[in-house]
Amino acid sequence: MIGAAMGNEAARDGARIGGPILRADGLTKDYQMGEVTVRALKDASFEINEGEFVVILGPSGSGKSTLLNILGGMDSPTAGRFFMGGDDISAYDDRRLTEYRRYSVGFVFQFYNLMPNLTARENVELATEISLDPMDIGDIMGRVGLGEREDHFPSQLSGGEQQRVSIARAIAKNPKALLCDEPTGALDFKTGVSILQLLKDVNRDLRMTVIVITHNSDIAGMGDRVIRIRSGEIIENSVNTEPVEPKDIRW
Amino acid sequence: MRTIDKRLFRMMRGTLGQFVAVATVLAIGLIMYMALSISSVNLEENMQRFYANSNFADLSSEVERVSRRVVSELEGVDGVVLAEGRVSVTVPLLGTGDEADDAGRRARVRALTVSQDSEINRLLVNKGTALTKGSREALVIKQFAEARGLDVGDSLRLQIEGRAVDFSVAGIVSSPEFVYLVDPEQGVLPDNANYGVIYVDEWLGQRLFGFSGAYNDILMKLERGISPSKLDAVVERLESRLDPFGSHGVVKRKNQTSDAIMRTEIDQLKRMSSALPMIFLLIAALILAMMLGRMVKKDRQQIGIMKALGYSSREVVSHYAKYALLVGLTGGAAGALLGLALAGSLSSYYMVYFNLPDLGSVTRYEYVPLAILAACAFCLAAGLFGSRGAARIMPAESMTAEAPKPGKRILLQRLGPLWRRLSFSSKMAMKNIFRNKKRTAFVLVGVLVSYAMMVFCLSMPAVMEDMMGQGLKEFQAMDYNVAFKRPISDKAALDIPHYVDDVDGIECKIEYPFKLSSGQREMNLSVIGLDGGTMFYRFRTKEGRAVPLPEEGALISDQVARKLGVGVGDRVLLHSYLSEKDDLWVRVEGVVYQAMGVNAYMNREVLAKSFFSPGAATGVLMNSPDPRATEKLMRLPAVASVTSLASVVSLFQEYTALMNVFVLVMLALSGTLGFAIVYNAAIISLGERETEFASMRILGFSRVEIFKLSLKENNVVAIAGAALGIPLANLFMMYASDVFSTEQYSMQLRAGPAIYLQGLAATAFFITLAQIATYEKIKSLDFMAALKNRA
Repeated sequence: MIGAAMGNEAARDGARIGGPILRADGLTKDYQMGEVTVRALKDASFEINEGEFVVILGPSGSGKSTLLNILGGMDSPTAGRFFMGGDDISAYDDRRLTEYRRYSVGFVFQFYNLMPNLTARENVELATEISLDPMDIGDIMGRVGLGEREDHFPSQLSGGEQQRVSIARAIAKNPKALLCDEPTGALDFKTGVSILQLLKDVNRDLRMTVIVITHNSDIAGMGDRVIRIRSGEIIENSVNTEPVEPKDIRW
Repeated sequence: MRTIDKRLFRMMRGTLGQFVAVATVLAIGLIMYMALSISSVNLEENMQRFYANSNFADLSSEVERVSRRVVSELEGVDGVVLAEGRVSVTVPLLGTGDEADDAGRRARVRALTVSQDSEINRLLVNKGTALTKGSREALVIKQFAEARGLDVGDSLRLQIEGRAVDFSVAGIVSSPEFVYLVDPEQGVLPDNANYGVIYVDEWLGQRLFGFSGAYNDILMKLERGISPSKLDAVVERLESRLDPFGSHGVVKRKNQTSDAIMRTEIDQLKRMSSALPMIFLLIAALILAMMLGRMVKKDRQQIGIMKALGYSSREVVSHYAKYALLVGLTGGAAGALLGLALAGSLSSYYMVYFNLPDLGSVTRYEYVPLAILAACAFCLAAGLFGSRGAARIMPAESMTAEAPKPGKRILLQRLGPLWRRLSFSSKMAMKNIFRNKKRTAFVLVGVLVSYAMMVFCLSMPAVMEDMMGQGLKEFQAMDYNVAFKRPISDKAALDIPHYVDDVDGIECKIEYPFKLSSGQREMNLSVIGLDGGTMFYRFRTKEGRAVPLPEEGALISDQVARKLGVGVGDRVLLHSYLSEKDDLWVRVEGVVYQAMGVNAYMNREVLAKSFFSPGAATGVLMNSPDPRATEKLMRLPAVASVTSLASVVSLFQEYTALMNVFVLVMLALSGTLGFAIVYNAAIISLGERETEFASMRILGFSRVEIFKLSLKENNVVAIAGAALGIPLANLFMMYASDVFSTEQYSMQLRAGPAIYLQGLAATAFFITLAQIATYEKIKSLDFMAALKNRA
């Protein structure tokens, strides 16, 4: 089950997991709330390997979304650095951060955040049109199980289907890492499991690094790596040698 | 098509009402710009072409009598290349046929001689043929012919030197000097049925009018490109050369009545073509900027997603700016094309209105890209300004709900008793008004501009009434203004009542052209000599203070004071065109308000002694209820013209009716403006407050109650907008008074309480329409979906 090993792990799980792709080094984030400074993230350091399925676990307000936002180039750290494939992303200016978001990472949001006036397929196209090496949209739509419903608008889709579109939109750009913010948070159990399965399939079949943040500790069981966070601090970074399949998860 | 552009088009479809409203405002602006600009250019070019083709005189001078030799010798003056003489006589028209007693009796005709080799002011023969030497034929100016239904072959009977002389109409003509034809005795408005110009053969005319071998009117052409200083020198030399022949001064083309009025008209058209559309373009830009600002705010989360997907701030801002550009393109193209179509008709209308021969109006396609470009530039700037907020949206922050604005007590809450008296919904409306300052400002500005324009438009017919009232009823109060052919003694003049029934009052007058100067500034005008304590003129200052006619010195109209730069106490030089009469220095004793015409007023006896003979009169002013007074007076050999106040008033009323059409169009346009703004603001507000309204629905508010809340907010702001619109309306009126006032008349646009109230009613009408349209939108809104959609 979940081991206690910390730090950089060598390639495990045969060819699926490669060397380090993402490294955080003392990441700190302060927010100014009026006259009070709130430290949302404190000196967070860790490494994530290519092809890993990582679960960042923490309760509400623990700083996990802040961490994901920084990793996704949507926010900048107050201190510390983080690297993607050797590049110091924390040193990027606004223009390069935009490029980073465009080419290197894909986002999946809790509330799907689809464009209401674009169809499912068009929502995916919105992302592929600005990427350098996009995947085939038909293939992606089939992979997420929406081949038949790709011309539907978000309002005509169920929550699970909307989240599938959101995943399709994120992976269609062919990013290095997929960042998922509470992807099952708005879904019922059954649909949630199907979404986790989809993410696992993407991780396995496309060898794409997937980082899922969640407050649901049951999901931690499926991660290759689990990073626990509380009050802005990383309290545990462990490698799971025997991750479970999503279908075996219960909450 | 790129997916992001598909989103744009769907966004456009979702906001179609607003899109159309703002594009319409823009299109109206461009239609005005195109139609007015192109018409003014066409009009001006056509006029210049007509001037060039007909070799329009550069200078002219009326004299008492001058020989052919003297006229030829004028060509020896440096700068003058051609000089021609002609005879000009104004005579009564006795009828257009054999019937001697029809209504045509009061019409007057200015008869001019023309020779076959006349080079200056060549006539354009529209119909018929030129004159045959020595024949009793006449060429009739087009306006007069049309107004009286005269055609080639008809006969005209004129009263010349007491005899009836018949002419046969040989042709219908146009002349550059009578493009705008006004009776110099009557004032500023054309009265084509009662004042006309005809041309007769020189040889015949000279004999008929008693000018054998002589002329009393000289036309001159100057060398090309003459400098203004040389022009002045030439005029001075000519004046001294012609002085012994009783010259009334040398008139430059720019002071020639028709040309001066035409240039003023074209100038007004040009000024209007830039000022009016600008208001509409600015308003359209304001609506757009506001719309996009609100759109960006509403789409905050979607913008965050786009940025999270990798779209740059520039791409997102341009995405929204493209919306504005589409409005620009749609409104611009519609406005430009409709404007181009209208420009053709308007140009033709103006040509007909001004009796300019249509020498080929050009369809000015080059204005189309110009107008579209201007519309796009305006919209793009507004779009970029409005959507600039999109650049500031951070993807991470946009995913969370925006923190509610800190709730502060509004100013009104501090007024405890007043606040407590308000109903709950009124309190909500007031809080919304004060907390959403931008939205409030938007509606406020919209209503303000709309209301100001309404009041401005409504004040226009009133100004005509005012001009008529001031100029024709208050200032002058005579029923008839009679001019004699030559000065006679007042004793003889006062004999006139014997020929008319029931004369209620009569006074002698002297009305004669003079040159008034002060330093370098000078102007030609009629000086009117009246008896002390005259009952026919009521002189008042602009402020309404009565001014008596001085024993010595002169009263001048405010237009004259401005032109000469003089005021009370200054001295001006009165130069007479009567030969061998010395100039006279007179002191300005008062500056009086005169809506129409420019004159100076003096004691008749002073004028008579200085320039004529003691007791002389050039006409009389009189009151009489006799309906046939004009006819009876015109029969008298000494009488040259009779102007009846009633006929001038009816002429004015015709023009007021014409202006009312223009005012109605302008009211509709201003209303559209108000409608577009209030509708847009209400829809924007609805979009922003979907969640708020949805919560209210859950609390049990009905759609109608929610609509009433929106209504209440808009009404409060609209009333405030109207109140603030009053000073803006006054500003518009001041500006327009300046634009429309000419040397001939002073237009003072003013609005009384009735007009302010009418403006309010009209504004309220259009705002109510916008509110009704908003209600339709509220009915179709799915408030519950709005609640579900929130993260």
